[in-house]
Amino acid sequence: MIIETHKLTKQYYGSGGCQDISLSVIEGHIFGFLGPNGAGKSTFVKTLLGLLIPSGGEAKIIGQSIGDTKARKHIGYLPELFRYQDWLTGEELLKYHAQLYGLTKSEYQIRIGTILDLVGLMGKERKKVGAYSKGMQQRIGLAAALINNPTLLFLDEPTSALDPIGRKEVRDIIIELRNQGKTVFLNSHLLSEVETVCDEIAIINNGKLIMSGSWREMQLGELWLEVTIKNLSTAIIEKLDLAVLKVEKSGNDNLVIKIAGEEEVNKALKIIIDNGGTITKIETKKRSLEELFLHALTKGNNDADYN
Amino acid sequence: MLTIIKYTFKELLYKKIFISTLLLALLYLGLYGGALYMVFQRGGTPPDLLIRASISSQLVGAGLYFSTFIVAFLTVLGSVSMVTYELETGILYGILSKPITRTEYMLGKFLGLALMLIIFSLFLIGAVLGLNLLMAGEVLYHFKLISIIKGALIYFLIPLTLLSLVFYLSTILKPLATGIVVIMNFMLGIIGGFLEQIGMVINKQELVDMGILASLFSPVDSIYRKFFSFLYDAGQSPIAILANGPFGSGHPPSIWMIFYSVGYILLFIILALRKFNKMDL
Ligand SMILES: Nc1ncnc2c1ncn2[C@@H]1O[C@H](COP(=O)(O)OP(=O)(O)OP(=O)(O)O)[C@@H](O)[C@H]1O
Ligand SMILES: [Mg+2]
Repeated sequence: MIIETHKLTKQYYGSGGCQDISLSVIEGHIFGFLGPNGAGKSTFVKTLLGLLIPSGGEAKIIGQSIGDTKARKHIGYLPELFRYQDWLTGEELLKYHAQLYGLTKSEYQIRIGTILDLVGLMGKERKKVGAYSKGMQQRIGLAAALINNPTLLFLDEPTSALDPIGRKEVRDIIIELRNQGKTVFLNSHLLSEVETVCDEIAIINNGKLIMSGSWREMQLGELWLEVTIKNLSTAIIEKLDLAVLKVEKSGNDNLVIKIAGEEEVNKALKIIIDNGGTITKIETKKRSLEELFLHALTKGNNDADYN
Repeated sequence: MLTIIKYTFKELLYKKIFISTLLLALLYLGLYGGALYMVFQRGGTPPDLLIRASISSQLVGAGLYFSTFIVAFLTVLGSVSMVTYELETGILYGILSKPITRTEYMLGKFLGLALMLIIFSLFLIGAVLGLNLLMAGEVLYHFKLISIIKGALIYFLIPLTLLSLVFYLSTILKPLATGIVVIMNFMLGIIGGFLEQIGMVINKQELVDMGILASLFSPVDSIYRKFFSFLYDAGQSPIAILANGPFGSGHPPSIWMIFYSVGYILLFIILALRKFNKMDL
């Protein structure tokens, strides 16, 4: 486990923040930390990095307890409110951050070029950071977080200021980092973004952890079938209702059927055909992260399905 | 920590505050040099060498005394925004998530600023003395190099006491409030110093006590007087009496004032570190 927390709590004057968060992150995984605005995502990350003093609980990252500066040599962090020394140029800024990591000149010189290229700022490195656009500032922030070639990377809303191309680029960088065996802890509320890259997710609301686990396993199981049926009868619906998790009529000849897994597709279709339905169109949908997210947030702590 | 020192230094050079203070200092030196020229090069001054020497030392005193105002100005304006700026803008998130402790960061900032202020102070002392040497020539007191060095070391305590106070206050107050409190504290020290000198001259112990009390809060004036007495080797040289006067050191504070000032600096640095180490960023 590269991150392990036990009942980690950080409250601001007794309220807000995050409470009793216990989770662990496996090395080499991309971990999506989700939650609505004000859920406590940034608070959690800042506490892990020693920027906030925890009000309770424990945590270890890269084997060191938080507040220990040694582990930070291998950590990269892109804060959510990225502001950098605006009087430095992009290149100088990266140099400064490299030196803060204790890198030597020979170590950072080549690295700076590579990183500038990676985040798409090549050719703009001699411009003052203060004159960068918001998206460019976020890019240079990402570059600063990557300058030490970190084993563990914290990204707090890394694409909030980026255009669609930029978002895709960041996603590709994240996937590339995973291929190199790095761990990425990604704070986000852009679900579609998390969905495609994350190995594991945790959802937090009102400062409390609601669920966490492997995203692939969560996706297994439930499946939605959207079936268009000629001569749809009440008999079909009644029979299905007994056999599957949920049936809903949508429109005149459409059924939305929730089943427990792929192995039940046949069973559901057989019921329709056996009862005189003619299927004209069929679509299967896996559970989307958005559904899971909304479901988790509305059901809150009572949802035991995915713990 | 070296990195922090280096970039603090760089930032100061970059910021307009340094350049404007430097311009202010040059303007001041220009005026001061002009005044010296009027006094010493344009006839009309008393021919008596002793009187001329006494005038010279008064002018040296005035020149150095008002230099402390410029040093104080740079100290407060240069540091007040520096410490809180990175905190308020969130730049600190990027810095303190690196393998560097908060103590290292704060000390790095302190040393970077201190280094700059020391260089600036040396420049001002050097320029004032240099102008006097140029204009007053042989009537200028013959400063010994060792006295200048000793004096300068003490003089550095002026920006450092102010700086340590700024550091501590900026962990609890907003920049503007910090600036106001530190400048008021500086003025308190200056006024206290005058009260003390006047009290000595007219033999009013109450005034002296008030001055001493003020210098406990703000030792700048005592440090200055001690510096001046070192410069003129007070107590050793028969003509050290020249160093008397409103900007001089007729009654320099005891050596304990120096230890007090060093303690003052350490105390506020320690308080600032303790507060900063427990702070949420
Ligand atoms: N400095 C602070 N002082 C007081 N309360 C705070 C402070 N920072 C955050 N909070 C509170 O703590 C809670 C969690 O905030 P946090 O910034 O961690 O949320 P978040 O999940 O990162 O939200 P977002 O998606 O908007 O970035 C919020 O209710 C917020 O009001
Ligand atoms: Mg946030």
